[in-house]
Amino acid sequence: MTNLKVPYVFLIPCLVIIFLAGIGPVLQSFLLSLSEFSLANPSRAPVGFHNYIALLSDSIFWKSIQVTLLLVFGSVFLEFVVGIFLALLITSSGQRARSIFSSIFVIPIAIAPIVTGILWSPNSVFDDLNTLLYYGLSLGTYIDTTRPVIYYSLIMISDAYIWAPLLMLVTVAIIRSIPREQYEAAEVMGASSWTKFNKITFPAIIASPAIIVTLLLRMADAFRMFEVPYAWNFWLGQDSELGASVDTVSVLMWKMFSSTMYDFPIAQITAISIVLLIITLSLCALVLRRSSSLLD
Amino acid sequence: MTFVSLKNISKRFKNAESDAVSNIDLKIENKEFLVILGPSGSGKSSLLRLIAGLEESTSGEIYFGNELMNDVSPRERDVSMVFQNFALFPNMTVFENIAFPIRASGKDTTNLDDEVKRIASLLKIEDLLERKPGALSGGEQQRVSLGRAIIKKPKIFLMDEPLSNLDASLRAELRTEIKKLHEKLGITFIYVTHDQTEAMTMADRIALIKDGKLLQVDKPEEIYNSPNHSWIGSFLGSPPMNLFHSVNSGDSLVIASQKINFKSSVKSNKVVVGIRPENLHITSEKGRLTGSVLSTEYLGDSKIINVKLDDYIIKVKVPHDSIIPNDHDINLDFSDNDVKLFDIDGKHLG
Repeated sequence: MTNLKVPYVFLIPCLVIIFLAGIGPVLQSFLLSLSEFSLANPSRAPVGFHNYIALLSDSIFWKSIQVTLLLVFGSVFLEFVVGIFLALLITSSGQRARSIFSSIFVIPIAIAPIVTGILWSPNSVFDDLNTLLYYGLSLGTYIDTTRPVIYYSLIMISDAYIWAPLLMLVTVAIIRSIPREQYEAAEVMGASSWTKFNKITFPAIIASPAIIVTLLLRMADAFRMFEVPYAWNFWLGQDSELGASVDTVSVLMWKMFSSTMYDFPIAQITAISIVLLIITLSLCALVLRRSSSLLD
Repeated sequence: MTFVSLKNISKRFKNAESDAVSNIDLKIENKEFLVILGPSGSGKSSLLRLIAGLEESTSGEIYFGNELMNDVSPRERDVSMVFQNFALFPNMTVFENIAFPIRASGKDTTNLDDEVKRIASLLKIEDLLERKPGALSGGEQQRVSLGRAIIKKPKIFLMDEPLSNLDASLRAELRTEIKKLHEKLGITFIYVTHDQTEAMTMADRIALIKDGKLLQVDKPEEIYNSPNHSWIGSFLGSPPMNLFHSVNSGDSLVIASQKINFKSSVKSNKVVVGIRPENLHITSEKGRLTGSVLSTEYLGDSKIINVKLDDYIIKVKVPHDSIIPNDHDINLDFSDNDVKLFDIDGKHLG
């Protein structure tokens, strides 16, 4: 064996592990998705792309895609807006207040997503609030958490509650990098605080590769959203219903697997997971492209 | 007419141990070109920022005309400011940058297009109006920032080291243009720099500041020829003034252990003697000072000779065709008028 080949030999164990742990299962699921297979009927019969074609005409699948898209864009947009607000609060406050604010604001990042699904649930928040509104203040009205606009908003708020601090941290870093003289020039030229935000701060934020990468990463992650919509299945009493109004793609896959109504349709579930994988991978590819321009 | 007056202005920054600007009294005339000159960290930028209203003074009063400005915000002070790093808005085109002060302050925009174009042609940037600042050279960016300051038609034009980020040839070019601009606009210019060439060439008057204190305010030639402090002598001029610790008897001085005849009315015994390098001449006869040549620097239009006199190494500036004695001994002469006397602390005497 020549010396040139020796390094490759040492790489073999590592490559084997990567294949077994990373590429193997993906390939395995892909092969599974091309067959007719369920735990109830474990004989594997190849059916080609039949499972994928069936998905195209499956209204439950399309509904879950719509729900997921709504929640992804809603949550990430909300995180972005709230993140900017928090960042402005931090950058414009004094040194003491700044350190107190930033440590308080960052706490939600450490909270498990399922907990926020419970924190913002109808029973924990809205029982008391609605009692206050309806009886205490005699307003004769209450917040109806079974209305779609309310529960979709609450899911978005729960997600933003966790992730807005991340957007805040990135935004603070961007704002700190804007030369102070730009604000001073604007100040001397007669600009109001709003003009300064609108013409200096905001353009700098959205032009920053860092914020674009963060938003794309958040979107890729939000496409796999599970915990909070899962909790809401229970709050809305839809936990045994396939294609419920809060079923994201991930929740749908879980329900298909766990529901006793079906015979564990593994092949169909893997087909959905491959579709989800393609969506998140393409977003990740965008992130990589963007972040390479960030590193240059 | 006095236009800007500073009365006993001091500024101490939070957690600082001493004043950035200390008890400054300064009157600036209407339409004057005043240059605030000092080394870095001397407080000259702080002083300008106090005039702009970007910093609040710790004590003292600032007047524009008869109006007390201490509590007036920068927006209402009717000033324009140009910064060292240009401070252009990167997401706006050159046109939008120049138009910014009018749009931001909600003024009448009916003639804005013509006005921006007129100013752009004045500054020779009319071809760049659609570009973004990032696509411009440093010199072009500073022209845009000048345009942005002009369009506001301010009463006072403030400039904080506007040429320091540019290369030497551009600096010289823009120096001339800023001077012309001052004549054309006919308003008060206050210009901060650490560069003595800029101060000398542009200023009507120079205000020299060191460690937050105002040392001298005078016309360039006065400040160069009659510095009221030995530090000014060594700060201004290239090479700087030669300074000697000396003993004065009223009709003689001892410079570097050599006794020379010098009549003066100064009473102090211990003095600091200052002589500018260009005021020392080589003489073939016995001069007033004798030293030995250490080295010579050729500058094209002149030569600088480093001469060792006792413990001092002094600089002598001579015409480029001067013949420097080969035997390393050199006789130097000077006239009494060119000798400046300072006390031990640096203050000018008589």
